[in-house]
Amino acid sequence: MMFSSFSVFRIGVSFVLMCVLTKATVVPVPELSPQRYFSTLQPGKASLAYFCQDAPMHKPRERKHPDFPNLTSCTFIFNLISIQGILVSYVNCVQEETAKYCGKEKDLMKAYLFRGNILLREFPPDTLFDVNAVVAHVLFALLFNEVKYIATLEDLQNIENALKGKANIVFAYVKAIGTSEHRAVMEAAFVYGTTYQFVLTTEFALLESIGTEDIEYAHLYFFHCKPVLDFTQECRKTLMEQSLTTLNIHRFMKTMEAPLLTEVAEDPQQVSTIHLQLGLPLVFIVSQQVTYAADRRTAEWVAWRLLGKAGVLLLLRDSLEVNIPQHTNVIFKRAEEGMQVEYLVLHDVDLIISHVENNVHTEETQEEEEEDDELEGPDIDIQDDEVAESVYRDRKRRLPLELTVELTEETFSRTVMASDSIVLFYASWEAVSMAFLQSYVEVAVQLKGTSNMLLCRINCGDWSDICTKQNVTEFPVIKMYKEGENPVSYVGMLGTEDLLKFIQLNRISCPVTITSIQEAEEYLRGKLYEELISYSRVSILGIFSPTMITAIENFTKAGNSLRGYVLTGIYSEEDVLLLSDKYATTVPALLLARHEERHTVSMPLSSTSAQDIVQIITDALLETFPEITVENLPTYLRLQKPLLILFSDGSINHKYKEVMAALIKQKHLDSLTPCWLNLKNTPAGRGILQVYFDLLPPLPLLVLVNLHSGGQVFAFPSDQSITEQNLLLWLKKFEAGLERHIRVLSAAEWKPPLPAYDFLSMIDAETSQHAPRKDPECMKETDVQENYKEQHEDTSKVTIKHLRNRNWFEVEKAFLPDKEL
Amino acid sequence: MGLSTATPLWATPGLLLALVLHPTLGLHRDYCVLGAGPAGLQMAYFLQQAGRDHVVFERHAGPGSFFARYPRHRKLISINKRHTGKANAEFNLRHDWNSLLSHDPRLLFKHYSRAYFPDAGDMMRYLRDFADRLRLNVLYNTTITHVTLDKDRQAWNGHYFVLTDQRGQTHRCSVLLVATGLSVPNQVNFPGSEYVEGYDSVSIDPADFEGQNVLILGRGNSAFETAENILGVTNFIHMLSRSRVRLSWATHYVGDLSSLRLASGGAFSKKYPLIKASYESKGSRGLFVLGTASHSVDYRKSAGGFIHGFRYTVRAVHRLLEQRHHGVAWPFTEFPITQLTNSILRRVNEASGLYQMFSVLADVILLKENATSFEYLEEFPMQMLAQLETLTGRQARHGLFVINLEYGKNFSGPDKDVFFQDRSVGHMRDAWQSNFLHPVVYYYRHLPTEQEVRFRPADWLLPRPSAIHHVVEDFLTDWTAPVGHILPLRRFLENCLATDLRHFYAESCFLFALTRQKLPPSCQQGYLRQQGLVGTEHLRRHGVESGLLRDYAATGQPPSPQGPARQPPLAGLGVQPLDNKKLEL
Repeated sequence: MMFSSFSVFRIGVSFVLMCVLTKATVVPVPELSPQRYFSTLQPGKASLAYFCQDAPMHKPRERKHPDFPNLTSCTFIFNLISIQGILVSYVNCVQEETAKYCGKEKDLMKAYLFRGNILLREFPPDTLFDVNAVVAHVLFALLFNEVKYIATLEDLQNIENALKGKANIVFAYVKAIGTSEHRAVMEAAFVYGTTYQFVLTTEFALLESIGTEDIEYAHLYFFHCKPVLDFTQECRKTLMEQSLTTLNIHRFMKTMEAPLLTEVAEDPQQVSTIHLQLGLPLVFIVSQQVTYAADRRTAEWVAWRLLGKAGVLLLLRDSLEVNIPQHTNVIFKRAEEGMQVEYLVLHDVDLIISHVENNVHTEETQEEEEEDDELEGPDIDIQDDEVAESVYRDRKRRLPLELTVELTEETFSRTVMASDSIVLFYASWEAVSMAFLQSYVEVAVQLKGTSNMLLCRINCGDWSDICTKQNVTEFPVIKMYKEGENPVSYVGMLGTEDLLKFIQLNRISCPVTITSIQEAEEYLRGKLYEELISYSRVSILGIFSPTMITAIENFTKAGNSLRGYVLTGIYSEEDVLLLSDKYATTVPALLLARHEERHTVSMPLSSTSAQDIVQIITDALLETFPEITVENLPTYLRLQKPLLILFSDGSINHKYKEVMAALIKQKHLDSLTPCWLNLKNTPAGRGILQVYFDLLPPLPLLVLVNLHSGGQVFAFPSDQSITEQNLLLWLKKFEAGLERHIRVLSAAEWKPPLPAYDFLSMIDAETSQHAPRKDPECMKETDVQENYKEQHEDTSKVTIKHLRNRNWFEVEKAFLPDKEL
Repeated sequence: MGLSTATPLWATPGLLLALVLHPTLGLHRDYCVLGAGPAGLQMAYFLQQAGRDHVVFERHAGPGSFFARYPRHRKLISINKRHTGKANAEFNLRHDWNSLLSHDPRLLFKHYSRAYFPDAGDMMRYLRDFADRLRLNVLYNTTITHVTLDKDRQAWNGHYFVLTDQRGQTHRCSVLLVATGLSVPNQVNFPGSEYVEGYDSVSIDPADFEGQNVLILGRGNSAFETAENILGVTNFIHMLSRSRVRLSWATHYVGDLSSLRLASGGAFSKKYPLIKASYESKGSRGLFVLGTASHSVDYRKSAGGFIHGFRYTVRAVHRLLEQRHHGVAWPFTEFPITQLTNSILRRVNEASGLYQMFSVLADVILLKENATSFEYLEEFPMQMLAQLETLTGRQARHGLFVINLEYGKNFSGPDKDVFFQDRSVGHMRDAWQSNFLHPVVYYYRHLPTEQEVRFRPADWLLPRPSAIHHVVEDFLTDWTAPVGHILPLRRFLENCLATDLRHFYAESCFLFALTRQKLPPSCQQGYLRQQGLVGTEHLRRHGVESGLLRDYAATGQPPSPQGPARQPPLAGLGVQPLDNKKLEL
């Protein structure tokens, strides 16, 4: 009955929709001869004709349809409905063999769609395999203009762009044409086709580009393009979460048409909107004059998130005559009649959403739950820690552990005293340390036979005392023990490369003492420690006159604390002036040799505390336009500036480097961290682009990410070329606030991924169940037993219920005072 | 295990101190320890390590005089399991019931006896070595005959304890630590009781019982020890007692028969002095009871009456004293919040104090502001939880966890069949019904008050927490199963703190760092500090197979957006960053 209110003139076919909804109405399909059939065709009216070689009424053949073995090729048509006023006929070719639409092969059935007497479409024999297929195909053919079938993302983008500010889009993905979902979409298009642009696809890649991965199911999205006035802005998208049936789509459409947010000032018990009629609940956000603006924003936010699931209203408390409880900020009204409204105190938008979803969910899934308790959503017993899971899955692989020395209580001190050693402190039950153990072994493999550094490990699960004595209380910890020195903790990335670098750079003392000018030059040219240059792209040389004792001391301390991360050297001979003159500086100074760029810069040391020197060196190590990687991003994030990232598939064109260099030189990029990302080296960059863009423009791509204040992402227009001028202009617009962001990064907190077992309520449930047993006086023996049995059965139910009731802390939180909403 | 130094202190229940004002100033000591038995020596060791002014008074010529006479048949009831299959020294103390705590690994009892139930003589030898090697400050041959209180406002506790020895010498003490064991054997009055030979004086020569009918009163360890000794020569042995035979493996109480041996249980109120859960006398501030006599705190529940229990409670008392009189806070380790699950796991898997003194001493985790880090305090007397801040000198303002080991409520009790059906719990969901000793974690948003502790629900060891977690029991007390033990514990902690405690590889953190405004704790405390976990190719592949990691390298063009954090701007408050869609369906 849902469609009964629509009487529409469609495609020149005039008819009144009576009842197409629920069950197929069995109408006998007239059996006609071809001649008779063509004579009945009316101009402009659509009709579907089946041409069949046998006479179904008289001698139905038992040839099975491959997909529908119960149907013989011709006879099943008799069970068809007459589709929405379209004439469906059966034409028996046997009677008049000459009819040109009759197939040549004897038992081949063919179907043709006509408008008037113009042939619109011929259907291959196997397409119309059931009712859904017939309805879907026929409507698909008739609504050719209303429903755009697309296969590429570009098509979708074009349609979206074309309709911005004009009309909304209904975008549907179905697995195949002719399915029941397809039919439902087509029926919806039949009704709503003039209001919205329908877009249909069977390409899952398209679906994925919108952000869904479940290509197993049909999806329907509503693109809110009409309100979009700025061409660069995207259309907001709402996913229909129910399954694709005609009824659900209709309901969904109605909610899309309803106003997003309604303001009311009457008793919530009395308020009714289209949502209630559609069986959806209402959510009232209670507002007061004082907080109106903020409440409205919240309500809009909620409304967007509940679009299609519930109606959202803003209830103005001040002008309200009925009393509502004082602290109530949300009122929930169920669709079922006669239900009391719920007055809630919820301090988090998520709580509102989950409240609605939980309640709607129970209605819908009640029946399912009884059938199948397994389908409860995420299982809290399934590992969702990527490190723990990958380590667990790899547990059976044997590592070449023999390349590392396993220490025990007895051998520990002896070993680390006898030779330079690296010790990994780990615990065999701790996932991170076991993951790192693999990298550690890789380091051992690479160093095999080349290093005099002994790679050791000690399992703190076994040798707890040793670990505690070495001040190791968490895992993993890596320490380097060198004769006559305090042990040094490794604080770099827990990975093969970084640890290898640390070990290699520790082969020489840090800072290394340079004894002659010639040696200093060699050191700066990267010749002195050639084998180490690949681990340290920069060599630092501190130059001092021999009398600067404190400065030398401090530099030595600084070099020591940077050991393993960068090469440092010190030169403090009498002839140091030769060096300082050459590099146009005065002692004390730092000389910084960048080996890749083959040039050396000098920096006078104004402040000479060890800490300052470390800071100066660390800053100097930063590049002006670095290639950002997983390993080095944290160093650049410390600068707390927006990132200007050039995404590139492979290394970047030299001209971009020049553009950047020029802008950097002119100090236009001082407030930013310019960098580039090579997708080949850092594939995770793809994941980032997917978040930034719905539709990925061609690379290279310049993006500005305001990570530390607001999280907006701005994209340099992909139709402009990256030139100094264009970029400068764009940055000016950005600084002036004229540039629109394409995305705001989620500011969501990292909440528990899943709930925990609520043992407290399980214990409570058990306690309360035991309570009646404490009063055996009024129970006869049989009663007790029965009672016990009931209780026993109950227990299992209660347990399951408690498992379902997972947001236990969320609920508790609702009672804590909080003024967020 | 403790009948020695017959001071008149224990004449009646509780403590009767002669409250005589005694103006004589003798030698002053901050700490006086009575008795050089195991408990006294243990306390002396801690006092000495902390550099405190202290002395131990012992009336005999050597330490551990109790063991010169008891047990009468020389075999100790405490096990000396020398090989546990594990190297972890802390863990091994779970199976070493005779060693005292010290830093010296040579002073482990396993070096003194090979017997599973060692000989009392070995214990004497051990205690002597313990006192000598550690150079503990013991005054032997000194009998304290008289103890009085001397009120003085200047004193730490408002009074001094004035001890008079047999030579008339007085010793003035700020704190008195009584470790004298128990001195009143049970007296049973019935017709014919005059024929009764007490355990302390009965002959240990079987020949004396040749062909006789013997009635043994009691069915505790001493009774069986005696019976076993004379079994072969007597005509008839009757054993009589009020309760049925309790086997310690059914009750988990050492005082019950450990496979047919042990001490007299029963007349509890007569035997033990009145003390608080902090082992301080209820009557006199500054007077602590250590060792066997302190067993009232956990009588019939835990091991506080035995060496393997009181060595930990003595340490707890010492820590309380350090805080009270020297401002030395209870020792703690501060960790970043990412180490929360690990720190608990490490302790429940190896700690011996938690294990031996289960449900008496518990670990406490004090959360710091915003729950970004926490302090871990070990082996705090859990009944004193309400007074935690004053007793430890630490702050508990932002919530706390208490980590305890517990038996299930259905398990203990002498009448229960410990091998009842379904006694072991296999699924994490049913962990709260675990019967064997298993870790239980209590979460409190606020430190419970004294009232809440006192009026807690029946059957509860602590007041009702905000949330509770049981780690499912494990026969080998090995709680390290990734999914069975660690995962549910993490989920519990996450939900208490409303945060995500998962570990992430550096690549995931990298992605989050550039696509979200906030990072999970493991990325914040690891990756952002340039200490991210890089992982290896093998692990990455496993991660991809599990669906928890994405293979970006294989993605190609156009990229498919099933990735983490793929959320439209308004869904910004979403909870689940990974596999959004998958979890919804």
